[in-house]
Amino acid sequence: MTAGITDEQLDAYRLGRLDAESDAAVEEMLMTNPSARTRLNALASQPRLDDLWFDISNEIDRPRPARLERIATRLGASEAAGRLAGATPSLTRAWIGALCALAVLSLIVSSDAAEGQGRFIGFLVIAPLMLIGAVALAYRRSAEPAHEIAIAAPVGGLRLLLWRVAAVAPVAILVNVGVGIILRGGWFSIAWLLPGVALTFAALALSATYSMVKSTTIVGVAWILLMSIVVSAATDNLIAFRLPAQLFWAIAASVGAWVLWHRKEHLEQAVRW
Amino acid sequence: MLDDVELSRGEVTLRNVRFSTSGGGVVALLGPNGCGKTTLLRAMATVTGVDSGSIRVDGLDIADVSNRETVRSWIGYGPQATRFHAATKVFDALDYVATLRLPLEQRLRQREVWRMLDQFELREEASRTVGELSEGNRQRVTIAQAMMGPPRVAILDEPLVALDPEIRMATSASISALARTTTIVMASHFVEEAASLADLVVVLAKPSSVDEGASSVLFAGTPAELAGVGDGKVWQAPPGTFDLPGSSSWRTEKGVLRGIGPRPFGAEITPPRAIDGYLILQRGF
Repeated sequence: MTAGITDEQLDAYRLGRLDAESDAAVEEMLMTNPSARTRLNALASQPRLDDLWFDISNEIDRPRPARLERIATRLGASEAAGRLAGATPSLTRAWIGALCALAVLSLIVSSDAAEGQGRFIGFLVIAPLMLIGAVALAYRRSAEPAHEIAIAAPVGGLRLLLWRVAAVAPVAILVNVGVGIILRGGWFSIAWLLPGVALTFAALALSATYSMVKSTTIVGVAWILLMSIVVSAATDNLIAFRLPAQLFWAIAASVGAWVLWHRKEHLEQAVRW
Repeated sequence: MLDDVELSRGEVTLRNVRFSTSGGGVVALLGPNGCGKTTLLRAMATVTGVDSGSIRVDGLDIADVSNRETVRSWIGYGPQATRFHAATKVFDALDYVATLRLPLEQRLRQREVWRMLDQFELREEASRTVGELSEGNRQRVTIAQAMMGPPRVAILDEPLVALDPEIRMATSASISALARTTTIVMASHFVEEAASLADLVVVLAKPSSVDEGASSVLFAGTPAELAGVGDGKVWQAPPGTFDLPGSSSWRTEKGVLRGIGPRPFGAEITPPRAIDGYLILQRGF
């Protein structure tokens, strides 16, 4: 009789639809037959009808995720990360507009061919600012829907901020690389990247003390001051972007990452919008 | 739950605030504008800190950073006039908060979102944007997002404001249904409605009436005890009676004059209501 029990019978037993006699028979079989028990478990773990119904109605009734969220999940972000990064309609016209305006500005200041390679300095100074500016603008307090609710939520501020930086930064990077290519900057098209990353980490670390906008402003102003000192003091105005300097930026970015990592417990709960 | 909290933020100072609650029920914070209701709620929701004293949820001090993640996972917060981005869809707004607050995988999380949408009769609005909603429904979205989970404590700032009477009644009913499992701390300036909902009423004083512009707790007790403050002090007089100087009175239905303070001729002592107790506390009769 071991082989005689069908899935239908097991399912009927599971749902309590058998009469007393068959019920007892199946029960006895289950006591002695491990493979029948395994089959019963498999049946029991199948989704129940109301679960299926929920899935269907959820798929139909739920609005389609926002574009940014769809792109994020397609690029491999987890569903939850996509939701958090994308739920803020932060890629607003103002943000894109500001990005384009800066791109045009760096094209203008760097297009005077007479100056040779030196003309790239304008682009190289502006490009890192675009990166941190993008982060600040996209996630300034007013762009955060109901930011008090987000502050009071257990998901830490730092994690939230990093997911969003990951969502916004690629756009700024693409625009910058595009500008670099238009300028035919050769490898200078990406020489701004490491300084940009270092500045972004610095701004993120500061955001535990100041709002995101304030900390980016501080970092941005410091960057402009530093660059004007370097350019006026050095004979080679691109010195801050050549290979030895790139090493320095790489170290600065690593230190920034280390600080963020080291203080993550604190930052997690202290990050302000 | 709250112990000798001292808070100051900007213009508002709160001193010696103390009350406690246990599982479930509604705590209503009542008080005039500017008395620090919102300040207190924001501190309870871990949005701002407290200067001294402590706020505890189930024994955990919320000021302690190491407790914060745990405490925050217990709390739902509905600030006053929450503004989700106008272009955000209702479902997305709730699902966004659910992602922030609930440690659930997508399916269970969205099941919870639908449960709340159904509870607040918002299923039909799920795909509309927040900007398209009526004021009443927007208010419900705020309450619904705070109640997802459900949390151990929900902190609602003026959940009944800006609702027309009919929807206010329905929202009150939802709140008391939810209070069976969640402790709800709400600020309100609808004394009667809050008193009918609440298990514990906390009345904060006008800032000026206490030392150095600080607010403090005037009263903490049940709604019946709040009404009891007016025992023997509230009178009612037939239509056509004029009030005496120094009294505080108002006309009710059918022209009956009801008041506190010096009693005009023909007025009789009447059983007080919560609002009477509240007015007596605020006006110092």
